Amino acid sequence: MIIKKTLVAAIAGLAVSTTSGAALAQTQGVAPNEIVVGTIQDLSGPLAGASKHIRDGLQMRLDEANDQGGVAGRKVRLVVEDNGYDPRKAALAAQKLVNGDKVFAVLGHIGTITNLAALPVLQERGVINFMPASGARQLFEPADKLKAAWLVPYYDEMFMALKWLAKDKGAKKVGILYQDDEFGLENQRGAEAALKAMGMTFAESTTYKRGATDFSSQVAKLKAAGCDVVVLGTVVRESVGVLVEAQKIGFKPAFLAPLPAYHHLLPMLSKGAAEGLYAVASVDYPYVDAPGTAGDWAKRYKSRFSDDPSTFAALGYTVADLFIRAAEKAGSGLTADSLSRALESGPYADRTFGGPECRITPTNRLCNKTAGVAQVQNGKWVRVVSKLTD
Amino acid sequence: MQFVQIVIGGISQGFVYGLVALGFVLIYKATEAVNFAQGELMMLGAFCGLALATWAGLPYWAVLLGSVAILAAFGFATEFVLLRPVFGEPSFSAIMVTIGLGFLARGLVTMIPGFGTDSHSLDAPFKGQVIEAGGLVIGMEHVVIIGAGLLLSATLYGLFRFTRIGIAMQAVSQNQLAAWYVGIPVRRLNGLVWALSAAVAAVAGVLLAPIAFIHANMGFIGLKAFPAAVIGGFDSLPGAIAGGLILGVIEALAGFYLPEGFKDVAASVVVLVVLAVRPHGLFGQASRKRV
Repeated sequence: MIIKKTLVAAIAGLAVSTTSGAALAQTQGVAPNEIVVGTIQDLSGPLAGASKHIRDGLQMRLDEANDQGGVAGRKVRLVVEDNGYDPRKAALAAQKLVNGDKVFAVLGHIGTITNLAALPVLQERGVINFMPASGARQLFEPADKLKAAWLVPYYDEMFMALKWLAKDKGAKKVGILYQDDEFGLENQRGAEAALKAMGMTFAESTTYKRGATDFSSQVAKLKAAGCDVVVLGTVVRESVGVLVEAQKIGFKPAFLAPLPAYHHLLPMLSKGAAEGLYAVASVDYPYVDAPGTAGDWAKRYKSRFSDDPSTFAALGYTVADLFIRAAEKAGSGLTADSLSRALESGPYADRTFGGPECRITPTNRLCNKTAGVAQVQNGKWVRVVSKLTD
Repeated sequence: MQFVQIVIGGISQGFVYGLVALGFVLIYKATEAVNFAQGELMMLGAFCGLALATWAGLPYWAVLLGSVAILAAFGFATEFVLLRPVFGEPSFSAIMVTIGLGFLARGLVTMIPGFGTDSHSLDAPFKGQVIEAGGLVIGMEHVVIIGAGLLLSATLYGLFRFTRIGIAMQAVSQNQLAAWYVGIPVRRLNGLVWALSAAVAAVAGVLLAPIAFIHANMGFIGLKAFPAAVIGGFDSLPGAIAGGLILGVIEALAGFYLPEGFKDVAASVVVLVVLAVRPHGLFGQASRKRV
């Protein structure tokens, strides 16, 4: 058994050393007239709604670049693979993209567990994991030229947002209701750290299982504790469930939800119960009737896909935009190294959604560690703070 | 006062479980198979309702009737196409078919672009209304669900207890082969029961939509309704409602008074206790065929 394991390890080691040697010799996915990039999305699982928007956002920006002649004369082709929000399928999808389609980079890969499964496959072949749709720390730390990230971890966002809100509201008692999984816990830890920094602790802490539809006992608990600020570690439907229940029993604290709740469906589904809700928000919401560049973009998106864009679509577009601009800067000698250097020569401003600028350095592979906060006002998201920092 | 409010919350949620559990019991009672796609039938019923409301522009009550009719036809067809080929096989085969049907339904719905992957709400005329009395509140959506649960369980109980067709269904449940020998049209009855059960699922789906929203995974509430049916005895229609009620109230009280996490294990604990004390559930028939 031990011999067998050693043998397998030796063969694997040999395979790694030969393949990485091959990767250094030439840049895969970059031909004289074409750049092949991949994306891994959840087309068949629980994140399919978000994934569809990310894919469309990516495609929209790449098509715009191609219509203007491509990047340094090369057209960009996007290959889409499905991970079904399953780490095993994600690793297979990454292998297919890297070995079959020979992509130059993977853009906007969705999901934390899926990214962690795919990352070693990409790294082994020198393929960049470019701005994945996950806030996991491992996707930008330890620093590496094959990593670049845009999404800030939930922990840090919640830390910054709660510190601001608790101060703004003069909070005396802060409670939390969060999803009993890694996503909910990340937010809980961030909120706990923020309270600790202010010399406070949770007045009440309660959880639910993913998919729950009844929150009456949790909300009753928070009300009984007299919370004036309540942190939610919830996604869209659960947020609405909590807000409707709170409205029903006349409980009116300031609610603060994490980034995934920042979705146009939330005010739509809650019919007024979400009025006043705060959520972490890094960009302006791309409503079709919004003023400025975000609104113009949303109109173009809607006319092309006949669907209202979400922030996921904006994320896809932003990721592709940063890729195109960095690749243009890297010019004709496009390699993983030159792309990385081009990114480091930023900063790159967000020209469309009013988000933070992207500053990547050799030691910091996360675009920007800031957070914004939006609030539901008259049934729509309005950003009330755009740039919070530690 | 707070205690009473929490119990009211539990009762409301209990009827939701009970309504879904009715479908489980119906199919088990008549065909001695467990339909693990019951939650998905409910989800299909809700999506049907959504389609009727958005595309045909029907008002809420017409939507309810429409999706009940469509799902009844769908249930009948499902039995004919998927279940009839395994007729006469051990009930295990039928159970596997229903598990497959559940996967299929979820997969197909998420394939509908812009419709199947999002969460939707269905506007009911009573949505957001609450009844308040002496500091206690209950949402109108829950009042409607409670009414529907009581009405459906009573009607179906009457059907099984007093009508010729219901008694025939009971006979089929006790022994399919024997029922067939004495001339009961077992196949046709099975089709009918599936239609009935899918119709009940559609009622649950459309009534639940204003509170829990319509999405591809809404059928997972079946995982809570299943223990409710077990507590009630699995072959008793009023038992399904009672099981749901017990579960809902215990969950609500555990969620408030017990330490964090007990709310989620309460269902399993109650099922274990009930099965230990009364192996046939609270309302189950004591004499049953060994499978």
